[in-house]
Parts: sequence; structure tokens; C-alpha cells
Amino acid sequence: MYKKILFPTCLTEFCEHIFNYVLNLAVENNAKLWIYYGLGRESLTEEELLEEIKKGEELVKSAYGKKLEEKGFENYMINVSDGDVVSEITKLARNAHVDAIVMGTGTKPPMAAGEDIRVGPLGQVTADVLLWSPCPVLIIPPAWVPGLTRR
Amino acid sequence: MKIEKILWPNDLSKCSEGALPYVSSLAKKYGATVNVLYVTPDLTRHESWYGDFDSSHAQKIVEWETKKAEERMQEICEKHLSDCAAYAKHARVGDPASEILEFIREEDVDMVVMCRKGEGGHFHMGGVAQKIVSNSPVPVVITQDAEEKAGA
Repeated sequence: MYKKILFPTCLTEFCEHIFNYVLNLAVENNAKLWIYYGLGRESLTEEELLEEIKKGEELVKSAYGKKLEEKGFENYMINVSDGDVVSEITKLARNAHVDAIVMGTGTKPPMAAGEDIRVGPLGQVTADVLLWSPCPVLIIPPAWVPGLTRR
Repeated sequence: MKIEKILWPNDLSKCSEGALPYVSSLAKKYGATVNVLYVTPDLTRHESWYGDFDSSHAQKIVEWETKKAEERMQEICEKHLSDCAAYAKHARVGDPASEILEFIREEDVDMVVMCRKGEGGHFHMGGVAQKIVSNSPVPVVITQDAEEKAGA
């Protein structure tokens, strides 16, 4: 069922925890993985934009490259683009006929050990992706971050 | 990755049924038990602003709804989940979102699969789904309803 998975990331610590889950899911289901990093709305010239995209790809590679190598997982693609993040995520999901989008509840979850998991509300990007996604969305809770309390 | 218990909260709507392929495929892949849960809204717990009233009539409606839901769940399980490793059906009475969250904690559920809206209202995202996504301690798969998928 999950043969094509899209993982939108904002390269935060929370996303790193989600990535572990996504990678396991992709390996177990022998799926193709798209890692998407959005630059947001930028008014840049074409050259500047290409430069930013290149930088974004390097950031994604440095964040997740080691884990991908350790798992020996090669069936992945890195996508970086500018524009409205929600539109870009749903557009990619639609064009690539993705089976599932995997993301967290928001970019600012409670990360410090001992904090209540309910502190982090549903982020705007996640809420909008849930509304406009053409495929199922798997939401990973902050409760899965080691050290957080589960009250 | 451990997925032993999957929860499928179901309000017996068409949209809820749309989550079925995802529930059964996950259950088959990971050999998980599917827990189908129906929550009957508790009609007897309203504040009596206009004076006390006899809640026995409302109680009868709740009991009738729960009984009918159990019958329908049995049909769904026998028809669609018979080839899964195991399934269990549960019926509860109370606030749907609170009961689902309580069920997740009590039964140590590993994953929730549900539709993003139920049968009430023409909204893109239902209130129950939103509360579950925001407060669930386990991963939640939100599926879209079949009509929207066809139009996507």
C-alpha cells in the first residue's frame, strides 16, 4: 500500500525523529521515498533561486544522508523548491502519485525533556496539508520524541 | 517497526468506510489486530438549563444506537476484515474524541487510521479528526473521503 512515500521536512530536531520512522516505513514496505524541503515564498532571480535550491539539497543530504547510507537505502529523491509550502507538497504528492505523506504535528513541538506533549498545537502547514492532500497523511506525534512526558 | 494494534474509529459513514483499504492493508502487512470503535454521543449528559428532565428516554435512544452500531460493525468486520489476522469491535458512549483518545491509552494502540471527516456537516476536516491528530500519543493516518479523492 505504501509504495511511494513523501516526507516534507523543515530540518528541525522533530523532523529528525520523524525521519527515523519514515525510513523504517520505506525500508519495510520497499517504497520509494521523496524528501521535500520547501524554501517558502522567495522573490529571487533565477540564478539566486538555483543557488538556494542547491544549498537546500546540501542541507537535506547533510541531515539525512548518513542515516540513508546506514540503512543502505538508495530509492529516494530530494526535492527542493520555492513557493507556498502547502501547495508545493500537495502538488508533488499529486504529480508523483504518492501513497502517503508522513509529517509531524508542527515545526515547534515541545522538545525539552519533561515537557507535556500537548504543548505543541497542530501547525498551520500540517493542518493545511491535511485539508488539501490528495492522499492519506500519516501524522507523527511529539510524544514519540524520546524523553517527552505522556500525560 | 511495531504495529500490533490498529484502531479504526468508525462512525459508520461512507467516509469512514473509505479508510478500510488502508486499515486492512496495514493489518495484513504487520499482522496487526484491527480494533473497530464506534462511539455513541451521550445524549443524557446535557445540563438541565430548563429544569430537570427524565433522561430515561434519551438513555433508550443511546442504547438503541449502540445496539444498532454493534450489529453494523459485526457486518462490516465479517465482510471486510475476515482475512485480517484478528479484529475486535468496541462500542462506547460519551464524547467521541475523548473516548477515542482514552481507548488509545487504555488499549496501548500503535496506530490510528481514520477518515478526516464523519457524516456530520459538509466540512473539509471534522472536529473529531482534528482533536485526535492534535492530541494522539501515537501516529495517526488521516484518509480523505472517496468523493474528494475521485475529484483530486
